[in-house]
Amino acid sequence: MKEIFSRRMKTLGMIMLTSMVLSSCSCSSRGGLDGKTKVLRKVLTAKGKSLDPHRQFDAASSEVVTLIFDSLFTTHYLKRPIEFVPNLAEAMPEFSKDGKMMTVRLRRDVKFQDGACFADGKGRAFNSADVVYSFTRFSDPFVNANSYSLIEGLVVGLDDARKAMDKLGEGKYKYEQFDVEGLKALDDYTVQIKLTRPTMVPMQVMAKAIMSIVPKECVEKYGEDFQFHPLGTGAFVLKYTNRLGDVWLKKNPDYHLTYPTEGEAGDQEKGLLESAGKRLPLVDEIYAPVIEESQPAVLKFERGYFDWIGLDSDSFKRLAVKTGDGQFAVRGKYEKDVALYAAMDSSSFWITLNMRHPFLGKNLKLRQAIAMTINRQGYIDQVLNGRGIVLDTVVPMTIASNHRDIGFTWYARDVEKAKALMAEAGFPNGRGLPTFKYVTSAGGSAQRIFEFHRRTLEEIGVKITIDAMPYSSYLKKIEEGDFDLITSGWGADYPDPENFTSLLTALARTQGQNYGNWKNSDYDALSDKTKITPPGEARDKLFLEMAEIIKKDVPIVPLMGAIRVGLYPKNWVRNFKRDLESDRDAIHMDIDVAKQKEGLSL
Amino acid sequence: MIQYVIRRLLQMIPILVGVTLLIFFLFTFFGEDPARVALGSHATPEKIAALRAKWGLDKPLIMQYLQFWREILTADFGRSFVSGERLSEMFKQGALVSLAVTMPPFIMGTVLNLIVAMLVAWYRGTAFDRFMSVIFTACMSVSFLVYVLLLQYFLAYKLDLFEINGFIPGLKGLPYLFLPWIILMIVHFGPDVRLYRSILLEETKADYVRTARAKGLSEKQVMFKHVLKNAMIPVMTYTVVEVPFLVMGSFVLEKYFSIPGLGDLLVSSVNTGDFPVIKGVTIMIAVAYSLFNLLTDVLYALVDPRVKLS
Repeated sequence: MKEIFSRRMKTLGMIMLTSMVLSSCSCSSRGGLDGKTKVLRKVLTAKGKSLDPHRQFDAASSEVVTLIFDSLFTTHYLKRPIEFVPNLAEAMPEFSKDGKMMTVRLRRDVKFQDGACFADGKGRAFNSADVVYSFTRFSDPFVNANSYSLIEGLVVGLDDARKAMDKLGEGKYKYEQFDVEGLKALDDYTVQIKLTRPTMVPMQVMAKAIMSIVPKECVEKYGEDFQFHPLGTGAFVLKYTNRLGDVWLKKNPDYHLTYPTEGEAGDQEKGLLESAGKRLPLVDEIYAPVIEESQPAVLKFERGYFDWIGLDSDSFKRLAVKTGDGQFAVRGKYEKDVALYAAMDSSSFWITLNMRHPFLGKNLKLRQAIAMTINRQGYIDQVLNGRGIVLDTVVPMTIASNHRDIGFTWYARDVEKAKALMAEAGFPNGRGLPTFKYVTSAGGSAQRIFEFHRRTLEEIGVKITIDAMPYSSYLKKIEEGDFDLITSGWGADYPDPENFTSLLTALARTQGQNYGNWKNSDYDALSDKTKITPPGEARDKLFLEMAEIIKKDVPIVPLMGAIRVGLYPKNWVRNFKRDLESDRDAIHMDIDVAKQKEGLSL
Repeated sequence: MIQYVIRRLLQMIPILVGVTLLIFFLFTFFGEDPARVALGSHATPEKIAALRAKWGLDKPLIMQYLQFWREILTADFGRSFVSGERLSEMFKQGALVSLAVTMPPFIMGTVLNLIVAMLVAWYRGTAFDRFMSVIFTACMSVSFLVYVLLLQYFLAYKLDLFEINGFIPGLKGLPYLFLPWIILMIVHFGPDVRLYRSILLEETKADYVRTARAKGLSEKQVMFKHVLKNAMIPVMTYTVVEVPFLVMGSFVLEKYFSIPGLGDLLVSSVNTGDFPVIKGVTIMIAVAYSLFNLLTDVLYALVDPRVKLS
């Protein structure tokens, strides 16, 4: 019997050994690079909801959609702060004197990608009818449930078309039957958009992936399945995708855009203008698998499988270090081969205090004490490894009229003063105060964030308890006002401060982020003025007045804006400047294939 | 036998009714609201109501439940709320992938664990037996996630023996599966060997073993001819009912190795309230579980002539 056992064990051992040898043979291939094809390999951290531009409104989808489709405008790849440039449009739009008529002239050299939805399989020329069709489809309530609100009430007649579609019912209409007054094709290459008031918002939204141009033939051929056969005018053609959301894209050889010829100061020295004027895209293929967990993504990056990776909290600790405010560096052994980028995000986070609460809502001194106690820099350092910047208003630093531009400062952290305010409020050291409920969506770093605030607020005797729940329950709860404190956040729909400041108006109590039910008519009136005042000193003054009102009343405590940190191999990746606004980095990036094949020397 | 099989198949109906009721009420009243998840934080009540109507979630509960049964009987669960993909296609692809991940280590592991269990049972009461018991307990004390993280780091990254992560359909993808297989085999090693050892030891105390020894059979003959055969019944019970769950794959492995199986699909569906996926997968598992239980009973009769299917 012992002999039998040992013979079986040997056989199994052989099988295992063979398996290991077989697998190790393929481990060093690093994605099958042939040394000729320029393959850009990046990690997607989540699967997008849809590759149909008008059905998606999430960052993960947008990251891929923007590579396959184009919008009329986009943002400059190299210039900061954000500057809008034409994409499918020939130039930036012309506005009438009253600012209500926007005329867009289109490029004449743009073709849709080849596909079976076209009569001969060859992509046809793009024209103004595609713009009218796409924008009308954008307003379809059965296609776009999420993002239409961005231009709601701004284009003459478009809201009426949306209402009419809603009334007729899904699939019971053709877009052509809605003669939208504010959306006209003047000729094959000119579109006129009539606005209800002078505003730049529609133009800014037209630069986003959600307002991409789609070909009517393909949408009608595939219907709801268009998301599985996405086809646009974009720089890349989808070759493969799977249920996990991995994508493999191939270069569109007919792409119309070229690499920018100018950037901001320092770009030339960094070699970011070496490809100036070259036809885009610069790589032949993009391979982007979805890897949700950070360990495998980082390990594969270190093995040279990826050309770019974003860092989360765990991987940041392992690979990077904070060297100063908003300054980061790659850790020791990675310095030789790897470069780090740090880019500010157009997002903002703040703590909302529920003004319905009998203590929080009615006691200004209590709210001020809380505002002086919340440790914003400590939060960034301890919870986010320093990957953030303190904000004094809700406007992110990437957007004009932020707190620095308008010369505004929030309360400095001062625990002693806060304690004195607590006593004045009638709650010395928190005596007489109930425990406040901090409501949050479960998972992620929710517990860590709560613990940080709990410890901080305890310094003045304010006690909080956590109520964590599934996301939809959380939404329901905060919309019903069943909380005392929450952390709120917002990512820019378009790069205008009004997109953030309007979140705290009375209207936003039912249609936005004003979950704390704060109401201030002066603030609302100023918010309305910001919508019709052009950018400049006068508008900044309005934003300053609004910030002062919030500081005086403390319905929220501004926290921070996020800084995205990531790595890329400096030996072979070219033209990399993280484009958080449009996510069109991959269109501009280039690869030195010989060095890519050599890999990292880690 | 045929009558028995038909009777058992009929008995599946009340089981399925129970499962459908449980799933339906659990996710209707306690699960995520898919419309809210899909529309996000700034959705108006009108938008939420419209989406709920589109998905049929505004209909009376009894109608929704009957619709659930219609989907079961036609085996058509429609499309995912979240991705809009056809579920039949998602299930087919996902199940095959999950099986590619779980089936080979299940078979190899069962054979290997049985052999180790016999070896340990053979040396019962010795220092080797005690040493192995410590090993089994240690193996069982480590969480699945720790195995995944450590083995991925050391075997795939540090030693470069395996692919770190990824999945390719077909034979070309085999190298991507070796490490998940090894992890699954290690995870099941401790509990399975311990169980099989107990079963084997229990059998060695039976009267027929004493009789076999009294007849003068060698220990090898006793072990292989009698003990192993009789021990196969409880071993079979344990292993065959595991088979339906193999289709489900492994959520943790699928997450860390980016494998498009059903485990990851089900968990993400629970998080997003993707009810069609939840319904489809749970019913599939319930049916498979019932069928494999039936198969176990039939196999009993084949292995042990004393068992009569009546």
